[in-house]
Amino acid sequence: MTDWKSHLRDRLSALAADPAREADIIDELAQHLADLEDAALRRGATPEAAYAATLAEVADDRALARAIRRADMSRPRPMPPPVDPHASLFVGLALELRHGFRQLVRAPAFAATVIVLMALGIGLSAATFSVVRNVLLEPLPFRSPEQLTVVWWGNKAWTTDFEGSAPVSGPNFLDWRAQSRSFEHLVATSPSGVNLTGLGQAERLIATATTAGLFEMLRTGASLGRTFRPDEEQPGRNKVAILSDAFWRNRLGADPHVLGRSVTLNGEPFTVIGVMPRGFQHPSPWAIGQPTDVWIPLSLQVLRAGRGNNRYVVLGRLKRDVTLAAAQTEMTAISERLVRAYPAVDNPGVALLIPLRKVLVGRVSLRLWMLLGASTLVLLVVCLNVAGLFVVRALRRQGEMAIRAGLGAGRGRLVRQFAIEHLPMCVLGGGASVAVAVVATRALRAIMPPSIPRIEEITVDASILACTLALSLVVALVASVAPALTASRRALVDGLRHGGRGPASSRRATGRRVLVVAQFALTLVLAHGAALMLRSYWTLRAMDKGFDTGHVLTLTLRPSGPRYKQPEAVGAFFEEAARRVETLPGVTRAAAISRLPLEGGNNSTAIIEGRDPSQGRGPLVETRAITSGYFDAMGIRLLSGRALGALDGTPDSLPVVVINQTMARRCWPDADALGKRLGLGGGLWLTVVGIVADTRQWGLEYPPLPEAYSNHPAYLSNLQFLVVRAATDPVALAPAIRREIAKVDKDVPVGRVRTMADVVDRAVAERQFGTWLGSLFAITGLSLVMAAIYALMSFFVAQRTSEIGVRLAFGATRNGVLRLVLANALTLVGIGTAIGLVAVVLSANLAASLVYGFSPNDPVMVAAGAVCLIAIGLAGSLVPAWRAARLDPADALRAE
Amino acid sequence: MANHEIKKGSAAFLILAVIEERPRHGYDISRLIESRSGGTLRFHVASLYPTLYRMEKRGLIAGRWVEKAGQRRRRYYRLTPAGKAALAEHRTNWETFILALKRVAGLRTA
Repeated sequence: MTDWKSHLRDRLSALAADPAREADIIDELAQHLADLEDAALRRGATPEAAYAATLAEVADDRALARAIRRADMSRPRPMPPPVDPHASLFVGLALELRHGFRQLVRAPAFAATVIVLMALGIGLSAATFSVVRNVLLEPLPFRSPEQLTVVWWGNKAWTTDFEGSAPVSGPNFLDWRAQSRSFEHLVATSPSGVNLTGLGQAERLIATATTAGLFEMLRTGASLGRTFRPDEEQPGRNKVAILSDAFWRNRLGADPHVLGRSVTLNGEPFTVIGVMPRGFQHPSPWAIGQPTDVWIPLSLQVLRAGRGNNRYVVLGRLKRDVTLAAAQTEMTAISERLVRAYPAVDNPGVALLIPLRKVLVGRVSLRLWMLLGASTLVLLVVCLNVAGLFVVRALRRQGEMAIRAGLGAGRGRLVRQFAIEHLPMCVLGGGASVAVAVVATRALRAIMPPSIPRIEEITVDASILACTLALSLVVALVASVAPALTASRRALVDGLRHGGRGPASSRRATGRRVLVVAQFALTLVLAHGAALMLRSYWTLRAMDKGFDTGHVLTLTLRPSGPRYKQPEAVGAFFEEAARRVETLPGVTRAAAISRLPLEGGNNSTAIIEGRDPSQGRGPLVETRAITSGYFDAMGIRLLSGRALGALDGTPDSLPVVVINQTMARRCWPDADALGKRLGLGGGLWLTVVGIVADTRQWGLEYPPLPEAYSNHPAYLSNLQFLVVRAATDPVALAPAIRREIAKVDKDVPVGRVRTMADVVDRAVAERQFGTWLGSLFAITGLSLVMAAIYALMSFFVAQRTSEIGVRLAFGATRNGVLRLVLANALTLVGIGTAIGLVAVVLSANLAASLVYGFSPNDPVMVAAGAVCLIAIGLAGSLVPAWRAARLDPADALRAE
Repeated sequence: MANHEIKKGSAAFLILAVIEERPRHGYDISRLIESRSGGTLRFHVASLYPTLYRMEKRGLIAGRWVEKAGQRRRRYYRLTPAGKAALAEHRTNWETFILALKRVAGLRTA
């Protein structure tokens, strides 16, 4: 008898990786050949003929070896060694974990995709939550922060449109402080700049003038020296200063003998009495992003002037046993007494108490919550995407699970093995999420505009990192176990019918379809929100601001000291500075103003001549001191009358004023405002000589307020910005401009130098930040859904390859196959889009206050969003559809 | 002789049907297919064993070495529950296909 074993061993090589398996194959084939030879001999063939006939069976030994290798190489993954039930639990877990690591190495692309998706989705969400938590949720870093309030002077019936609140006048504050019993401390603060001289080059510092009690209110003492005493509000005793830690270290070299040292501020000597602790800044809605360098006392003499001049931010700490409501009641009563006591001066208004944290973060809270919502949507899309990947993996491993089930593994055991097997991937995903969270938080903190409060408090602390890690583990385990639960149930029923492929079963693909539909629905909400923000941002950018931003430079200047006690001296400084600057080549116009557009200002109660005192009180008016030429320098259009000239600013000239359109409409709706007279406090009547176009005083999103410009000497002490219009790039002229200003007075330092474009950028910085971040989230979501529909359609085509082959064999056209796949995709995308549209409409009001210039339910935008999403879905399906249409029917029918 | 493509596409079906009654080894399987098809269908070693190994990989059949007294050991293949379900589905699909062929192409069956 022929030794077929040796024959085959000599001719067939490398049949299987495992020598034992190779020996088995040789054995089996040898037995078959021996049976063939026996049969031939029994039929009467000669031994030679029988041998030749049998040999012919394996004539092409190379092809045979190749076919067997191919069939044998993709044998099922080796199952983990059976665990002795009597062995310890940890031994079993260790074995399964080791198996899990091997699985990780065997499928690097799958593992990397899951880890990257988890890192992006969970990490970005954790970073956004860090921001929201630190800015909006964490209490202020002071003891008993819930007792801290801001006290505005307000009246919701006012026509100011600015949330019905305003800063407080000095006399009103003094009366509140004297009469109220609800507060432990009530302080008035005023942000201002001061000029530091005598320490090298003159420098402009950020200062806060405050009444006594600010630091006691915040329960923070000085790290060196002491804080202000009440008697230091008195004139003559108020030339003392408290320094910030940063200023003390950076400018004074952390001088240990700083106490008692004299520093010259605004030309006057101040004695340093204290240094505040490192990192301390007093919270104020007007000091966000502008840390104070030095605190100085607010003198009573200054406070007592101008009951109608609202300029102080009042902060208070309620007594322990006093509620906000009770304090509000008391302050309302006090306010009403003051209105009755001073009818000629005060507008009807009351004190409005608002918790300090709400005032600080209220402006940004909706935007930050929306960003958190957007990042959460991205997280959900990522989770659904990851779940989809695990579903496919589970379906492909049904064969393996059927074998395990056949060997006696119960469903719980199968699911547990699946979960532990994926644990290393989950842990790596969690680690990557934590890393992304840390990096993204730092990045967000670095790029957030400084006008967002409490940026310096943003950190990623251990609790958020722990939650990030836990969330990653939960997401990954649920995403991996849920499909395993379903797949294991079907493993014994469907088995390995076609190794996961074959005729499409609606049950098998339903899970993935649901996941894809959900992703499309969520992504539409995300994309629509981003589109709303983007359109609002561009609307604001494109709007007529009322002034010209091209080639306009602004410089902060604050002449101070004994030379500038009189307002005329301040006016003269700016007039001379403007005159000198205008001689520079390239400069077309220069002038000065007290407040730039978009950066707030001072306001006063206007009194309209000729009206009954009870009706003659005009609205709250933004008052601006200017020098002649300001409107030309800033590019503000003169609509009627004339601008202010140099001759108008003399003490002997008729006091005149130029007002804006809004003020003209409000105060004289039925008459021409030119020639009319109004009072802005101080007993001065101003004649309206011109009307200019509106600008925005408090931000692009707020409507213009009534505004009055005057160059009368009475107001010139408020001048602080030089505005320079140039024919070319004004920034290049800055050094030359500085030199000209120094020639007027070298002790007047130049503070911030910005173009008007920079001022506009700062005004929209928060919206820009939110828009770009929201757009990033939306693009991420759109990319993920495109990938998801591509993967699903590829899976769909793979599942139905045989069916497509039969259709093509029976005469279906390739376009028909293309339409079949695209129609399938379009159904899912359409359902997801429809669900998303409902969510968009229901959530429209949430975003209403962030939308500018149009309705959040604008039908064109909603429809455009839906169309874009459908287009993306179709784009993602094109390649699998094209592949399906290109299938060879014979290949398709052969496929199993 | 039956078209090579049709035979290739039905190999698994034939093998499942043959071992449905009882477990069989490879030579037995090929012999029965040839005899029951009247010589029309014949599987050589080069096509039979790769098919058997693929089907075993997918869990449609399960192989087991059996050693009987006085005989060399042989590897017998039996139908798994998954294989039974696959066989039933194959039968349905082919019946449907043949019915369609009858209607369209005027196929006559015995």
